[in-house]
Amino acid sequence: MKDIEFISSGVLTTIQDLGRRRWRNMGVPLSGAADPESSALANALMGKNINSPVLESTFVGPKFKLHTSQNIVLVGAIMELKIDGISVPHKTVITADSGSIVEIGRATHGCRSYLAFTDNIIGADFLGSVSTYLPSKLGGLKGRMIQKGDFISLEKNDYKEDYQEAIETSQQANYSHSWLIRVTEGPEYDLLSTSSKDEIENNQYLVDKDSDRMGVRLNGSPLKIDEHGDMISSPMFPGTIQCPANGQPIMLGPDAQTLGGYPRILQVAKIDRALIGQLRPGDQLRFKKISLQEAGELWRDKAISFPIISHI
Amino acid sequence: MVSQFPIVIEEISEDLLQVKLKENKIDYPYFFWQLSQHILKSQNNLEVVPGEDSLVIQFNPVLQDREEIKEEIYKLTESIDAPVKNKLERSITVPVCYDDEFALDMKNILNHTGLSRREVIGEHCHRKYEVKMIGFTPGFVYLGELSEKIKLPRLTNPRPFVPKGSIGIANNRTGIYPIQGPAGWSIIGRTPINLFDTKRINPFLILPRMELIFEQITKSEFNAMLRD
Repeated sequence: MKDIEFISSGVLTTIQDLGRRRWRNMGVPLSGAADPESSALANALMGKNINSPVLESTFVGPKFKLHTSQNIVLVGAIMELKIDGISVPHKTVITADSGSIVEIGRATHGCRSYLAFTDNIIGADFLGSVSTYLPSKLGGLKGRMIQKGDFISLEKNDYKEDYQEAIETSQQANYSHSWLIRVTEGPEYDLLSTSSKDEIENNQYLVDKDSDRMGVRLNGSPLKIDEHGDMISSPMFPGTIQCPANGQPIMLGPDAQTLGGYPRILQVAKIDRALIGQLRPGDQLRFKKISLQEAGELWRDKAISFPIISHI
Repeated sequence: MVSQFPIVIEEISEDLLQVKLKENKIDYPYFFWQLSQHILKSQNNLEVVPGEDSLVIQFNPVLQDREEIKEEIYKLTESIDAPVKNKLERSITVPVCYDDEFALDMKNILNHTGLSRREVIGEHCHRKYEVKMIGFTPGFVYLGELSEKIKLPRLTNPRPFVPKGSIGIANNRTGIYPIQGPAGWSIIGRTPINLFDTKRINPFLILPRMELIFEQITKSEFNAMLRD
């Protein structure tokens, strides 16, 4: 049962699936893979249910010993994957024999990678998901990040589907250190001053080091908000961009709070929402405003060419 | 049947619908809490968040039809005929220590209100609150109404981190941060009790419409309760 033995933990490695659904009304966040498109692709390449648990590595991945033979596949941030010291490619299913050492290196582009196995990772189920939510210490492995010396168990996976056609048409996100994120106007967009509205697409933002799965804090020329930027507590979702009175936007991630009181000035369009999980401190970012109609069409087009994401 | 409470539904993104009341005449949070319960019962694949004066629904724009969902929401509001209950449900007492070590913003609260420390504590703990909403993080409760005398806006620059159990105030609300994390409210004290416990069969201790009372405790009482 002790199938995976961690020799090193990486910076922040957790077990994630596609998140905890239908408890948001009770304050329970979605959680799940911060880049759900990459985790879905990792599972699809393995022929598994796209909601199967994966290992999410942040910045620097873990090193572990396999005590069972497994096929593995890595998708997401560009991190070197090595099996017994030999470099192997991303997005390619490779067999790792029992006893082999698997190592996920430092990300050169992007922030998080997803590793899927032949068998299913066993995690602690809470309200129908094994996603780790660190603030409440729930899901995953004892509700915490993986530590050196930890073991993870696997169970046989019975689900098998051939996604080959879907995968061949999939488009890999273009990782860079300078991102253009498409957004639509949020419900409180009109609280922005006229000059801030004019500048919002030209502002250059830097991703702050105080960013995590709950929110990506951005630093740039401060936006001006009317009415002291205070409002009645309102629903928030992953991709909501709120703006406190200091004028520095916060882009909410998978662990987004369900309610908040800072104006929701923008919403990241679904077409670019998975990229939130790939932003890392120091990256540059600009916004591009699009209409609701365009946002809907872009996502529908993408779902036609890459059908597995229609369930995300 | 025509709903007694006409609503408007606004598309706020390609996958989010916001529901608001046309008129501001009833107890919003409870209306939207009830509506959220109706929606979750009738629809299997929607994320629903009731807020203070709105409710937002997240749907899947590829697999679900936006217009059908809107129709369903209009229909469901018709079944809400008593948006306000007069009597609050069971009462719960939450111990709070207001010592400086825990009340991270006490100095600022004193400056802002012009009250003494004892007056501020008195305004906060000698009153019955109604649980207006739950949300933000699992187990966070929004309580009202906060005394006018200690009303403060949210922090200009939210803190990336406050400890578990911190009690915050903002505008006409006070609330309890059940887990450590970021916080935009002024912190006035801390409770040693666990408001969200994943080991319990029902992890959610407190629900909307309950009554909540804060009771001041000393630091040694706080520490004793933490150990229990």
